[in-house]
Amino acid sequence: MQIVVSEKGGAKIMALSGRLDAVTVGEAEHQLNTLIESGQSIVVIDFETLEYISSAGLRFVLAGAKKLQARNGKLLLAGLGGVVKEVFELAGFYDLLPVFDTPDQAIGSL
Amino acid sequence: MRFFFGRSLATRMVLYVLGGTVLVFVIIMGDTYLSSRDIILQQARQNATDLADAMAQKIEKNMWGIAKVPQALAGFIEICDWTDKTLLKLIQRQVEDHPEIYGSAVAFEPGAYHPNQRSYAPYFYRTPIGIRFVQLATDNYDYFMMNWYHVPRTLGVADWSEPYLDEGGGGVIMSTYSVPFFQTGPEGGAPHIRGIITADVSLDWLSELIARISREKTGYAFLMSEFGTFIAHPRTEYIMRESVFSLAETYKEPELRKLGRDMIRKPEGFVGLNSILTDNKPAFLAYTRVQSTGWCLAVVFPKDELLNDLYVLNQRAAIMAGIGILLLFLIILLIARSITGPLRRIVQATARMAGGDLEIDLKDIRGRDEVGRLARSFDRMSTELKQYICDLTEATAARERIEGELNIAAQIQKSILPCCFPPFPDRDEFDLYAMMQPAREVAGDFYDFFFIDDDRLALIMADVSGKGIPASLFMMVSRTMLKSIATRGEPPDVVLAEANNLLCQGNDTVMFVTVFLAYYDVGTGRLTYANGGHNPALLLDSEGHVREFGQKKGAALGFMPDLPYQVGEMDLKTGETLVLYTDGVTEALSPEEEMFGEERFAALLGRNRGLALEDQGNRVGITLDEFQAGNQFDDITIMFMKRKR
Repeated sequence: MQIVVSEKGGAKIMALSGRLDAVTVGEAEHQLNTLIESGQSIVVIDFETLEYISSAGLRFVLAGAKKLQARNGKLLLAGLGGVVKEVFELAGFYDLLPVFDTPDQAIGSL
Repeated sequence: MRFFFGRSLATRMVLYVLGGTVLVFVIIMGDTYLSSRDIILQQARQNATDLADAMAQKIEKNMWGIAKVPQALAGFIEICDWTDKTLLKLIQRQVEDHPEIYGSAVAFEPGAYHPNQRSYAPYFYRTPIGIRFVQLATDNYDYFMMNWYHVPRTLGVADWSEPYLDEGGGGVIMSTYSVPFFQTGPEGGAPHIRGIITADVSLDWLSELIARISREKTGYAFLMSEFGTFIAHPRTEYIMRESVFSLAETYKEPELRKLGRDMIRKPEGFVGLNSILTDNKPAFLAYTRVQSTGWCLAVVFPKDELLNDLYVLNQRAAIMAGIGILLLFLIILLIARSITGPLRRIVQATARMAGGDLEIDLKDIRGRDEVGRLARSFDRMSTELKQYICDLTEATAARERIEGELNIAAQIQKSILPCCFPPFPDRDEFDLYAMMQPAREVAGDFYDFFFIDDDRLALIMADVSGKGIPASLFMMVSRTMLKSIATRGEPPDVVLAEANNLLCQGNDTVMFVTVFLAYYDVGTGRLTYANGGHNPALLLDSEGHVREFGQKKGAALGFMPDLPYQVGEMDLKTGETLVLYTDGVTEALSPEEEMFGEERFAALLGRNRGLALEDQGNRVGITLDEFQAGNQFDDITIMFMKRKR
């Protein structure tokens, strides 16, 4: 699990790679919480290079979305594909979250 | 005492400190000894030389005093007119008046006394009964050839004879002083010798003088004639019997012969030697010449006598050093004990502590030194260790309590899930088996089944996000809600929608649960179902074919309220089996991180389709265990329901 945080147009982009499961989710949660607590309202999670997401990973995404929403912010998802997209679809969250092809598109949508 | 042995700290301290001290003592004492010896030897040399000079002068003075007597007589004879009678009288008086003169003669040249008389030599000498006279000029005593006459006659000057032992006079050592007297020539020519006046002098006083030095001073003195014969010597057997050369000969000491020659020739000297001359002891010898007689006076200082004071001094210093070192030894021992005593106690305490006894008390080891600090740190360590063990015991107890509670929770969870199969023995329309293998003590997965009316059997397969206690709590809530709503007989989509709304309330931690809810009509074999984000269900026919169904869209429950769910329908034929499961089955990971997957699962189900449902379930459990190599990550839950008719 690797997390690369970058900034674009006032939004933070968290690019995840590897497996996001119960073991690695703590680190992602920590990073996201740090961003949110620093006052960041727009966060894009880039799933382009993520190989796998577990239900714990899903929960991390949902919790992040809820947290940002509570602060009038937004969590945008980008680069969903393959197994990861399937998991989102399977759990029925794909249609409930703002999903974009690329982080640029996600930022452009604002 | 163990203290003194072994390689203890005390031993090492004693060895190093004492070793160093002894070395310093030895160096200082050695240096002091050498410098003191140099000073003493230098002084001894000076003393010896001075003493020898002083004695030589004294002898010289005495000898001159004696020599003056016959010289005066010679002057008288040369100048005055005298008769035979006065001459004899003068000689007699000379012996009478000077006790040191033993005898005196006036010996004339041939015909010098009286032309008709060839020789004339009247001699007066001292005896115990008075002065006696004898005429030396006899037919059988030709005095012209005697040394006492011949030598001064030939040389024309006064001379002391080589000392000799006078047997007639009682073994007294004597030396004869011979003074020539002259007669002026008839034609006023050069004066020629008319005769010789002699004075036989006892040299006993020399022995006395030499002996006195030997008695009073360190060392001793001796006197040698100009031929090396001992005239005076503390060893009386040497006197007149031995010379320095005879000793050299007898005792084979060529060095001594050389020294003897030096002593005779040189006016003075100082040598260190170890010879028979010094009684075979290392000694210093100072010598000086008695000018008038040509004798040699020597003073001998044995080295050991000279250095005796130094030895005594050194001995004293050595004793003091010894006492000092002994004191030092005791002091070091005390210091070492004051260090090693507490150290030994600390070592013992450590051993006790290693053995598990933490009740140590080193508080009485005080002091601000390293040992004191060590003891205090050690004391503190034991206190902290006690505290730590106490904390650890508490923590362990707490953990055990939690573990115990976890076990109870797991039991509660297990007991909540129906686990008695067959669950409805009076129903012969279907077979039902379900199993759950939690990844941890408590699981997030759950299943349930219950009749909501006479015909409809509700089947629930659910998976709460996450695992452990939070998941299991959420699972309990979800299960209760689903069951209570479903029991009312609402359609599955309505049940899910209602449960979703309820679960969304106050779900700050965003737990969610995926649910597959199906109602099975046991009479018609019809399945009515709704899927809330759960994986699809499987249908296994009697041929072993597996069909997937139920992927109707609907989100997992608990995230967002007011979501719609869809209803699906499906007919089960006799002999077909409905398989509900959680993703713990298909997403089981091998050590190579390969997922078990739908294909493998379908093939497994197909292979085992002929077995009883319970055996099929167990096979799945065993296969997944093997696949994951015993390292189960997610809860594994599976439910089989087979239509029998």
